[in-house]
Amino acid sequence: MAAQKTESFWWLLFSAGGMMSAIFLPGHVFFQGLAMQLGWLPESATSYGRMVELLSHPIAKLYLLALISLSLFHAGHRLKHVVSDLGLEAPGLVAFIFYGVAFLGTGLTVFALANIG
Amino acid sequence: MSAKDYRVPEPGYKDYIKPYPELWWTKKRPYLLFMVREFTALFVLLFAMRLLQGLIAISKGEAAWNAWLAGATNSVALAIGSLFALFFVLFHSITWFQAGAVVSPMRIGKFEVPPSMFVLGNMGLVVAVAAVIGYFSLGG
Amino acid sequence: MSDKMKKLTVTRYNPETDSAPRTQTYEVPYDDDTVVLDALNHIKDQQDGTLTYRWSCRMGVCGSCGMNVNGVPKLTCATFLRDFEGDITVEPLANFPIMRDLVVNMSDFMEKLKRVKPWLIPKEEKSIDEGEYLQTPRQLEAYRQFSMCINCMLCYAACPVYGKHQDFLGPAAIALGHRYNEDSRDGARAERNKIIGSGEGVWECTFVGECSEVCPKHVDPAAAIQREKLANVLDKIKSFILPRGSSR
Repeated sequence: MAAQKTESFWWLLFSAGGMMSAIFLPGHVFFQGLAMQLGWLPESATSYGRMVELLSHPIAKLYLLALISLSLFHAGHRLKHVVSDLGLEAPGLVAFIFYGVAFLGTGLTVFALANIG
Repeated sequence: MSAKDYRVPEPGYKDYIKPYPELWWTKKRPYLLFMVREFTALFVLLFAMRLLQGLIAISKGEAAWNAWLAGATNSVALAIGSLFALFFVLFHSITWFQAGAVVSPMRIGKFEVPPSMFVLGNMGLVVAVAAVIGYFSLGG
Repeated sequence: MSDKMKKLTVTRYNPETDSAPRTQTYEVPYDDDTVVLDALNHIKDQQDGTLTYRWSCRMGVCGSCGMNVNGVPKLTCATFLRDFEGDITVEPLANFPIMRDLVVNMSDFMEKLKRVKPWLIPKEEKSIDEGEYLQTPRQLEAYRQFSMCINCMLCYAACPVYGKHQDFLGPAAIALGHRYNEDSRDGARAERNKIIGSGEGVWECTFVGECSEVCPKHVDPAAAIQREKLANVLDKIKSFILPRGSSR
């Protein structure tokens, strides 16, 4: 089964997201994941006021939008191929679901960031 | 555009076509490692969604954020999930830089940076970035 | 030859009488210098003249004697019996139709090779009076590695994408297309891209990377494919920003 015609476009997003997540995601998984869940972050650092202050900066907004959106496209593209590798050959449907999630996630990120600060 | 399907034997020939194993990725170690590499995307997806969840909570106001935060702190179950996520995300980083070294080998002047050094250098960058993230996360 | 003996389990298939391949086991004497191809020749000369397989140069240049040895695509002329602990299984190259015993049908690969136009197509044809197409050592270095391919098809046998989807153009064909695309004397990138950049070309590859691992000539087709992906995308971006101005 030949790859889809739009594959190069998705691959560009996949690559950008792969680079972005490879560099930035481990730090977030450690601090906003593990450290937060184990209670290692001081309360003052996670207070609502401080979060809003941090996220009000346009650079922080742009960064988070790029990180979340591109990570979603990266993962969606890869998982589309994983599904095919596992033997389920329904490229149209699978692509619709994964890229749909990525678009939806991007929209929600824009919406959430616009409502902060 | 499509080429002729040569797996259908030409008239007069009785070529034997072996079916490809459905579980091909379990047949060889490199194939299995490939699948693990691709599988890291699941954790990238889940953690990106987790970040988004936190953002949405903040955007909804103080009460929503505090409720989300209460659920996210001191949760052993989530922490175990994060430990897995950390492993797979780091696996993603390393394999991504390995691939990067293949796609566009780095040159400094006449010196061609060997792939292992390229990966090591970039993982250093990941640690440095994590330190910056840590600075902001710890209240700096 | 010493009196050490090795068991070889070899795939047999006679299209006239068999409905599926079977195996046959032979015992061959070997020493430190014996390669799998020598063992096959020994079987054919001394034990069973009906065994069919391809070979020619015996020195890793012609690319005819590729087979799966213990499941790994190898040039049998460069695979020593001494390197194997136990018995050895010799099968025809994976992912290709089996014609007879260890001989596979290469038509698919031959067709694909032609489709990428693996020959020099200069930007502007020069007359002989105008002299040679000059090239610096550095320009040569840009594609030299990819010109080492001997068309042995080991990379196709290692590629799970080709195993599953026969329409995939495949490692060697794309690597050879890349070799000419990277040649400073060539000007047919756009033309080759019609096939290399298509859905049957680079976009089917998921970068498993085994093609490069098994290549006996260290060609690194996986790198060629990823670089063609990148070049393809950069071209598209350029033509999007400069709809008319760009021509590479």
